Amino acid sequence: MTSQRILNAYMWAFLAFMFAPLMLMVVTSFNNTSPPSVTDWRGFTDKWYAFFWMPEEQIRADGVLRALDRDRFIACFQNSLLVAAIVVPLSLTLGLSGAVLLTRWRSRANGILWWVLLSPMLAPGVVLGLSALVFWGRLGVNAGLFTIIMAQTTFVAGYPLLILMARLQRQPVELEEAALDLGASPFRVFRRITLPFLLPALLSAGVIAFLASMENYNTTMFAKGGACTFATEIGAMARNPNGHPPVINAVGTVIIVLTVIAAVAHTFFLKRESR
Amino acid sequence: MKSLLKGYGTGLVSLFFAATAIWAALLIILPQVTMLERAMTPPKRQLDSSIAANLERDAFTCIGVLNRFAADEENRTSPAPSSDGGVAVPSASGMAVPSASGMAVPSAGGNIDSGTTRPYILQCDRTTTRKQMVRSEGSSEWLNELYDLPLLTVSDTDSLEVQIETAKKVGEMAGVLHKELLEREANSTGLTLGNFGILVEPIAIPLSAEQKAIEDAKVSKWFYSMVGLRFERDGVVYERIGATTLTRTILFAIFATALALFVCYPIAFKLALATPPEKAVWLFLGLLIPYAIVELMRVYAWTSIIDNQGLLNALLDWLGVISLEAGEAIQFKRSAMTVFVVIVYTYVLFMVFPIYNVMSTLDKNQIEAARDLGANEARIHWRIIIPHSKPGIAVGCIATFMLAAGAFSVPRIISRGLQSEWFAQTIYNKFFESENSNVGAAYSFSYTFLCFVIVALFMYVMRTRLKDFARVQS
Repeated sequence: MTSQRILNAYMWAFLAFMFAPLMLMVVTSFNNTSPPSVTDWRGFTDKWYAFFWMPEEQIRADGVLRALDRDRFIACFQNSLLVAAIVVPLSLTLGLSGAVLLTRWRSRANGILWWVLLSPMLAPGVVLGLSALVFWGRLGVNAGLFTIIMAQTTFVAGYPLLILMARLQRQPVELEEAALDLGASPFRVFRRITLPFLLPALLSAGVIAFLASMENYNTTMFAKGGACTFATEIGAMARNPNGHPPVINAVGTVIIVLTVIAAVAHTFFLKRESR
Repeated sequence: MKSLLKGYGTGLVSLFFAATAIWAALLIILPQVTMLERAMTPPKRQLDSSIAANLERDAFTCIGVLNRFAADEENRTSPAPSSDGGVAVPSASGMAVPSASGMAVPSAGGNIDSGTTRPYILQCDRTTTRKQMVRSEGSSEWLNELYDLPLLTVSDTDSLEVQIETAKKVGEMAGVLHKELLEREANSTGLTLGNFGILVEPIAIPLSAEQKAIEDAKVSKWFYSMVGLRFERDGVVYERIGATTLTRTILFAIFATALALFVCYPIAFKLALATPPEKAVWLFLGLLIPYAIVELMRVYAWTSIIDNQGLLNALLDWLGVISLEAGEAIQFKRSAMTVFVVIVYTYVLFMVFPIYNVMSTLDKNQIEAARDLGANEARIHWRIIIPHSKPGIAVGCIATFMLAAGAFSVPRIISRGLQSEWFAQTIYNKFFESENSNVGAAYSFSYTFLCFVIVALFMYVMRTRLKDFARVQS
């Protein structure tokens, strides 16, 4: 039983290691000092959050917030949503096509297709961004949101591919065959049997693709040109030798809270389903 | 193919093929091919034709400036200097009046040294057929020798007319040569491996004696010397900087992967096999939350720990190891070790979930049976659990390795964008911030290639197939 206890202690230590920096992030987002600090407590404040809705004069009066460009920040966030809105359906389509071919197409080319379609997931993100930039630049497309979308789709489509493939392999072929024998057209079979069967997988793949697109930094940084996204804008604020403004920690805290809520809801949902 | 057509119909199948073909060609293969092409393209400024073109342009600028200078000179000398009776009015041309040409002449009537007939004009100095061509280090070739041109130079001791005449001649010759070379270059493929050569090019590192002693004592430097990335010639230290950064990045990534595996195996085991299901759900949740939080935020969360005024320094101060007031703060953000730790923190969970997914499919009865037959814990792990979860371990290792090797956000945010210790940052700097972006393409291509070789080798050794990736995800 001692080995059990050691394992337990180890697990708690690991969880503490994973959560401690996140906790510090939450704490610093309420501390009235910049750069964010936990050791130097200057009193509670919510101005790092209020930055997003406070009136202009108040921002101009504050020494730290004055240097930030709120409109740009919001524009970049909108860019991110726009990119994700295109990347997600695009990668679901590509992922579904790839998954069908990889699971159902019996051919010699299958092995090569495996390598080609999975290679972006094995390649460093920076390389994908750079090659999209160079390729589309060669075709005369300037770097911007379009190259970001292309670069992200390259590897984001891999997640739906893997998730849908796992689901497709478990699909009973008999259902489709029965429908076909009863005279349904292949398209009707696909729409009425295959797609409903894939729906849960499509949904979770969509969520994962959305998150991957929103948070992507490495690939986007190389493909962005003059455009910006939420992630690159946040990353850009690090390039300050004196430390970043705690606004980032406030954004991070919001993300942490949202993630916790989503994860807990997901867990409850799973528990209820398994019962 | 037949079953595919029968199952989905021609329309859908052709749609699937079209979508997959677009993905494979437009998004994956062609970009890499373009990248290779770009990596093998010599930069424009290095071409001989651009040197000829520059020479032509310099010659014409020189002629223009000389003509204007000559005209000014005449204006100044022909009407006698103003005669308004001794008051020292500075003559208009004596002042530093910006010349109309704006380009080259600092001041039209500027200080002319004795013996020269014109002021200093950069373009005229550059108007000579003896131009050095851009070649790899060590060899030098000259335009006039290479293309059989007479040696002509616009000498500032000649009379102005002669200078203008010479410049004209040089300009004409350069113009002809430029056209000829352009044609010649358009007909040749013009691909070169030179950009890849820069990756392994040795660069002299200026070091004082004490610095050199410190550097020589470092284990890492000893290692680089062993593999030929660092050497000494005539008392000067050379380092193949590009290749050194690449090696260091790959090595750090391998260490990070090994550490992550070591840290995560017990966690995956605990989650998959050593916790009753109703508790495992909550443990799973505890791991899912940090996994799902935006990567950048996980990195930013560390800044308040490692800052100069951060938690770690405050702790050391409190323990009396250092004194913050005396400015003894340890620069954690500058150290490669910090970047390493944060990379492990950021990507460690990519190891847990693949292992967990495979491990949880193990039939627990096997463990019970082994225990009943007298196997101890270590043996159960070694002979049953690890062999069963091998695909998960392999996939986790590959995922973590690729993320760690390609890490760009972590070093950039942790070091506040100051350092390029990691190869992804080197690529960024080479591509966006150096004069020859093609070198960046070459770096990036070599990097991808090396990572693929390592992953393929690892998959071969672990006998993993790509299909395991699909299995592990579910």
